[in-house]
Amino acid sequence: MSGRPPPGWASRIVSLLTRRSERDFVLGDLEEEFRARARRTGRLRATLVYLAEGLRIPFTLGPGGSASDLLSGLSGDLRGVGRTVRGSPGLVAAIVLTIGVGVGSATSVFTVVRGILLEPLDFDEPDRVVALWGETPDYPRAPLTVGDYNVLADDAQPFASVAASWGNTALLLGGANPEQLSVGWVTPEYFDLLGIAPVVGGGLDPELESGLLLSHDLWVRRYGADPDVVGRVVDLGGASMTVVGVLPDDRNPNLAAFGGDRTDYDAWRLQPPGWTEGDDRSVGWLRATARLRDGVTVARAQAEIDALMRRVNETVTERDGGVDLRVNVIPARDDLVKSMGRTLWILFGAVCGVLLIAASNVAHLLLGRVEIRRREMAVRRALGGSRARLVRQLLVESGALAMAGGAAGVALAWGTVELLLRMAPPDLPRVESIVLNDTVLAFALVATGATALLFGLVPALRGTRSDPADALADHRSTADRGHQRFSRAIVVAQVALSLPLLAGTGLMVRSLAGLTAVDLGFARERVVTFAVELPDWGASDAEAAARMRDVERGVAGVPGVRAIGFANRVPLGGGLYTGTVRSARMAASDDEPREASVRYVSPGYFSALDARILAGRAFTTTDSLDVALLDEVAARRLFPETRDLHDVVGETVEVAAIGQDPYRARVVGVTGPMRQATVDEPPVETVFLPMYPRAGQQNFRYGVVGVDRDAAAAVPAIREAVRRAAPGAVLARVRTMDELVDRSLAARRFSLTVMLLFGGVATLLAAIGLHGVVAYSVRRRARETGIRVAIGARPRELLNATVGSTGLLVLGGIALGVVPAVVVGRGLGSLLFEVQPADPRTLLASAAFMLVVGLASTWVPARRILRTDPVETLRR
Amino acid sequence: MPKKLSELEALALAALTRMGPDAYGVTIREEIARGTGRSVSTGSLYKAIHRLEERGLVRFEIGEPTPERGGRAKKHVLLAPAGRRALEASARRFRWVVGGLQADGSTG
Repeated sequence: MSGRPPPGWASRIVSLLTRRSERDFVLGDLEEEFRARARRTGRLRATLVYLAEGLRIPFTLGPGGSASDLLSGLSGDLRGVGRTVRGSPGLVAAIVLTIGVGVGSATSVFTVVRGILLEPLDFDEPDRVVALWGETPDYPRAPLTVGDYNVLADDAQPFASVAASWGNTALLLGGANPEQLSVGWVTPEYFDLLGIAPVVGGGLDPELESGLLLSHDLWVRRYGADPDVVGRVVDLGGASMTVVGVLPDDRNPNLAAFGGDRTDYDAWRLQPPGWTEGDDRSVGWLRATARLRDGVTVARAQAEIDALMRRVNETVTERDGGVDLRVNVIPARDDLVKSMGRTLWILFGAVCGVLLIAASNVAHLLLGRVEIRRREMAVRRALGGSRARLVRQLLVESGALAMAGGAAGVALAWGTVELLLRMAPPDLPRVESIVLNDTVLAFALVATGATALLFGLVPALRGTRSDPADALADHRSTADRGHQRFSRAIVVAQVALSLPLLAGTGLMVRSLAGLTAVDLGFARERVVTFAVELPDWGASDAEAAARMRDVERGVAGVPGVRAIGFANRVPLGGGLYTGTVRSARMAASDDEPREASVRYVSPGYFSALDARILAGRAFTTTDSLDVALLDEVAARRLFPETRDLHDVVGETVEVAAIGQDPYRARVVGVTGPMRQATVDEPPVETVFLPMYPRAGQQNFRYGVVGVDRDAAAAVPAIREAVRRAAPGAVLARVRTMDELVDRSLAARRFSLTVMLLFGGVATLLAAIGLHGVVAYSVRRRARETGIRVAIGARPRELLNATVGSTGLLVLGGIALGVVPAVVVGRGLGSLLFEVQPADPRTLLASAAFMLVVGLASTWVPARRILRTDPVETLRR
Repeated sequence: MPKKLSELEALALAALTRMGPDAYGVTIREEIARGTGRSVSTGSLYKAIHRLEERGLVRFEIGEPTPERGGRAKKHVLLAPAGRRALEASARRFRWVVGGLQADGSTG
């Protein structure tokens, strides 16, 4: 025997392609020739020719065995689908559209869920990265003190490495316009911990303390992606810094910021080593991150840290936030996503309800058709067709329709996701991960397939079930009963699935209405806020105050400006600044000081915001350090025995801003409560201190301007005035108060819109489904109705009976849907404002709406009963 | 009765008239290639031979398996009398077609 046979894989391929009856002979021929050719020109060429010959076989001799049968069967089935489409284009369009809506809704929400909750963060082994947040009785999520951070960095066993960050803003000079940057200050291990390496240049090196790492965005935006930026010297916040590198575009080193607006830092630098030395515990400011050691789970790390902190707490006598500190170990992704997880999953569950409603609508449509084709099926079976083959044909039909619907659904999902992204609240985490990628398409495919099975299988099995002889006889009543059961189940299920979405929508509407009406304690409209930075505020507080007054005077001169003031934070603008305060009496009896928000403000602040002064006065330009204003909440807590706020004026309090020593101040006024942090949280205790005496020490300086007409329109004039009054000034974060309020409400508005969208879709589909069920039922029973009318029944009574029985089904669905509705309400969690998840009024309203829609959908097709002409129906 | 033969069917029959009982896939293709310079794929040839067999113009005989063929048998193709007649009819038609041409290829 000469040579070796062709490669096994090649002969397997050819074998698959060849019809069974000829396989031996063809393969034999090809092998013969292979051996001969291999001898002449080598195995490689021989294999190529072998394959070439083999691949032509399906096109000449015909495809292989069972594949051949399958192919010819399928092509027949597909031709059948073509006939169906041509025969009933309206029905097909309805089916494809319905599936499209169902699959599209589910897919679009899945896209959001995947992007935010499922997609891992883009670090090395992101599951091993955790955030470390302090927890005290007053603050559930607080940054760590230096002392505690060092304990974790040095002694914590579960962590392979620990790093920390902090952020502020600084003015970048040099080159084009000065720009205010968000700067991240990190410990040296930070980027290694995350596994993010610069894409240009090098990383931050402790040898070069003034090294600056640029974010990719900043590099492109300001330096035109010029690689020569490395080594350039820039002026940042008055200090000379050298650009050492640029971070990559596709990796985001920004973990959750703290206290409001999520900032992506524009540039990164190292913290001076002295900052994280020692065991100071007077201020918590470090946002700590850690990487778990191999093999350590989050639970175990948490347990070990708890034990460690218990030991540490025993030795601590004094700490910002309290002696009892708990450190929470939270996986980075969960921390980023926070409470959104539950809400999103519940939303996803609800939208799967939409998919189910769509599928059951289509099932019902097809069931009707199958009834009609029952005779055709019976004849084919009587002539010898197997049930399996018929079921397969119907499934192919369903599959083809489902595929078309699925494709429409993907297109719809794409559009919906674009829309959702456009409306998304600005602090929605991981927005960049919300894309239609392979996973999403796979989901769409699975959803489509499941839908096809759902709506295809039931009618297919029912339609081909009966004994052929039996089906050829006219047993319409038996078929009807089964169909009726199915229809009734569909109605109840669809209503039950729609109710939760309606209830959720109702709850969100009430929450938003409540929020829009809430009294903020300051003006919502006609207020402009901005952050201002100067390259040089001067050498002393007095100089800085003078520059502030220049700006104030300049802006006050703009026509339409009522008042202007400065503050270290803007209400609703994000950012915490806290301290402690206690009354003189509390100090005397050594009571614990109370945690309070501290605001440094200039005299014009309160009138600019149109905030109420309930007692006493605002600051004046002559006020020195030792005066303070309290808000009503603080006043009542510090002086619980006083009834009249006027009595608080003149009292003495002991104030300590964060990181500073306590001192005494005289209360000169009391303001109304102001919602400084967010619109939905109740006002917190606030103590106001004069800004001017500390003007030079501020990290942030915000201008607040009250205008007497449209705030947005006033912005350009204000900008101009500031620039003229303080040359070199840079404005940033210019926002009107309504923008800030909107931003505060953005997450809720978004949820409301989503619920409204899908709730509307669900209700519409359910209404269509109900309409179809009733219409079909009326048609089928036309004969029976005709008879009954002929013997004396009144059409109106029959109509009422139909509407009544369907109404009962709708009520049944409503009853079933109540519990899921409450679950959805709970899922909305913190999004709700002043309304309970199981709020009875909302549930009742949703139920009533559903009932009305249901009755209307029933009545419209059932009206035909009124037009029953017994003679006509009996003749047919 | 004399249905038209496709070109490949005619070539296959023509090859068979020249070959003995050893005619099968490989050898028929070689013969066609030798006589006309045309290379025919295995699949096409088998399809053509099948059609011939269905019309009774050839018949099959299963041969012995050989190691060269990986232990598979050969399917020998034998010309049936009807096949010979069909080829002759086809040849007659072709002669008429060609007859209009002069020996030197010119017409008229």
